[in-house]
Amino acid sequence: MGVKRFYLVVPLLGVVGLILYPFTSELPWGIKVYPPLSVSGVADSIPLPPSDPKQLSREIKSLQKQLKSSQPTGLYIVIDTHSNYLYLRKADQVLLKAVCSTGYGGELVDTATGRKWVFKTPPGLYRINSKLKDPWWRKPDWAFIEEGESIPQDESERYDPNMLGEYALGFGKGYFIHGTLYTRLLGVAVSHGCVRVGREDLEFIFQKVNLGTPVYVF
Amino acid sequence: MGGVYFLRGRAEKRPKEGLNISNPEVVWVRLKSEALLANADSPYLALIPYTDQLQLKLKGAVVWEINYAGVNRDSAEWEELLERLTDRGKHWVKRARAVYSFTSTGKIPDSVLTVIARALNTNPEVLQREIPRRFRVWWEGRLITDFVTDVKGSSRSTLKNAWVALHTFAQRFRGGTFMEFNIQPDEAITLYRIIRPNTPLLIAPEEQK
Repeated sequence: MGVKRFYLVVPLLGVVGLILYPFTSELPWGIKVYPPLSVSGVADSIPLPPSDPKQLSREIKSLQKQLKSSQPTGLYIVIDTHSNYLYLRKADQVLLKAVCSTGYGGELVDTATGRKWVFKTPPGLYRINSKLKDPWWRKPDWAFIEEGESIPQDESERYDPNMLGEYALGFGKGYFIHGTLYTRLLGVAVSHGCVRVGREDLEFIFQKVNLGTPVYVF
Repeated sequence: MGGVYFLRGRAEKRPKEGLNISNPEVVWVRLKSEALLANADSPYLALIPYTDQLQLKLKGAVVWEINYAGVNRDSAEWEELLERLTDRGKHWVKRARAVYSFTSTGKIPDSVLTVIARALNTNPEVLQREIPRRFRVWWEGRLITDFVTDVKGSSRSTLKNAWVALHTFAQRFRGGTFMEFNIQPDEAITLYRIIRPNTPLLIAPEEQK
């Protein structure tokens, strides 16, 4: 009789537990759960506000100023490397949403010298620092190594007048927003770190953007 | 358009303390929270109930924003929503705890990408992005958000989906807030890829100027 009861009670408890579980746990069992950063998140790292009302008022003004200065006032470019879109926008208006190609994230190692390249569009805040019309591409060493070719001694062999399209906008560290011959691949992360966009979009960006325009990459 | 749905529960039974969002100490905590996020290199989300918007921001700049059907600002639900979202004005930043994708498009084999991948000496899968059709994020403080796109997708596990849905249903009895956002496929790709351990969500009740 006791054994029978045991075989009846244990599965029953299991079923009851299964039914009650969703009511007791904040997160469902069986999915990846991230451990909390702290008991209640980033707020814990924030000190208590000043107790002096004048000091509090001063700090509020200072914080408001700091936040306002972090927001771009005019046009800015956003490059989303996750979905491969480039946005030309103002704070409250999107002027252009263009499909683009960003760095694919791969690595290349030159076995002869051990030099290594990572083909990624690096996240961060940059500014447009050059605007070029009919740019020529000066092929870097990796372009030859990737093709299995030897690096030319003659500098003139490095130049390609067609690869970058009609315009190029530099945003630092040798990275450019430029055109492409491979329009079929726009929307896919296949570049070596530069940002490729279609012909008409590139022209629009080139006409609208000035030197110093912020470029946000993430 | 999506919307806000309260998961009714114990929260309503608590005595109302009232939340004064213009209280200088509350304002200070909120501004300090955003200043920390705006200084960081990674993007963050900002929920603005005042304008019924969810923004993706990077270093203080708006990357994109989506609208949702919010609650009436003259209603008691508005105050309730703010209180719940901000833990009664104490915490203006919530961290992601878990993400679950119900359905997605999967990675579709593409012959052109295969050729390109070979040229780049990489795996074709690296070049492809799957689009999540619907995914759910659990945030600190019993906030659950669903992001939904209109792409066709296949379910990863029907049993697991049912389990997660049952769990969310059960959360109704514990109090909590559920929000649904209809987003574009490219926005879904971005969000699904950036929402990682402790990704922050800033609650900004005032109009962003």
